[in-house]
Amino acid sequence: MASAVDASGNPIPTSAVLMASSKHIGIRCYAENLEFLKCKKKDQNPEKCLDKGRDVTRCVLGLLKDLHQKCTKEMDDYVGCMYYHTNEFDLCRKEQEAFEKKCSLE
Amino acid sequence: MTEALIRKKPGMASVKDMPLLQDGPPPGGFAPARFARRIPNSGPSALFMFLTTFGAFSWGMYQVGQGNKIRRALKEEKYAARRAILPVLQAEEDERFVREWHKYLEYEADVMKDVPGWKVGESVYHSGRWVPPASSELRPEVW
Repeated sequence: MASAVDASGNPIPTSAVLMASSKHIGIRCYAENLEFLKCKKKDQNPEKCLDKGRDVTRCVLGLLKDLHQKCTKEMDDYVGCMYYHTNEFDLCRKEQEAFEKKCSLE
Repeated sequence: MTEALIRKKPGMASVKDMPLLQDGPPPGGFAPARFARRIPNSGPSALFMFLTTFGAFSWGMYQVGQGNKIRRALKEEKYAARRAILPVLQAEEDERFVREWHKYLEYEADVMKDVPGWKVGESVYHSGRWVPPASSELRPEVW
């Protein structure tokens, strides 16, 4: 994998990128996630929760783009480390600290 | 024969009267050898040994507990990350599924158009819940 962004500068939501930004997603997109999960709990049919799903996707992709613009190098380092160590948090502590320091500690 | 010539004593009638040639103790006997047990009663007492063992065991179990706490924290971090990204992944999969499902319903309507009383896409179950489709037709590129 060459980089975390595609041609137009949007971060591709691969597992490394998502796991790297999971703390930020868990805090900034908490409301959308909760609404989506409540809808799913009510009815498992995918067609019924499409709108809430779109809210979630919009929130997360916007957040990834925002994070990448604010701290490009730290995020790229952290994502690269996650990719190398297959999403093992304990092996990427240094990069995680740098990323969280630069990009608004949650 | 030569033994009799060497060890003879005058007036000996047969070989059986030869003087003795034996390996024996030195004159005055050997020095006395101690063979009695002498295990001392010194060293740590039973209570001290028990307390030391119990202390070492307790400290070890405490370290085990601390290690488990650390491991549980690491696992919790991983699970929290998975919980945070679960909705995005599910939403993406839902979009993909709905697109494929509509294509399949069109195909089903086309196939069953001459069958009277056929409701396209109706559930085969009576529970009223939505059940994921059981056929593997939806992802032909995987199989």
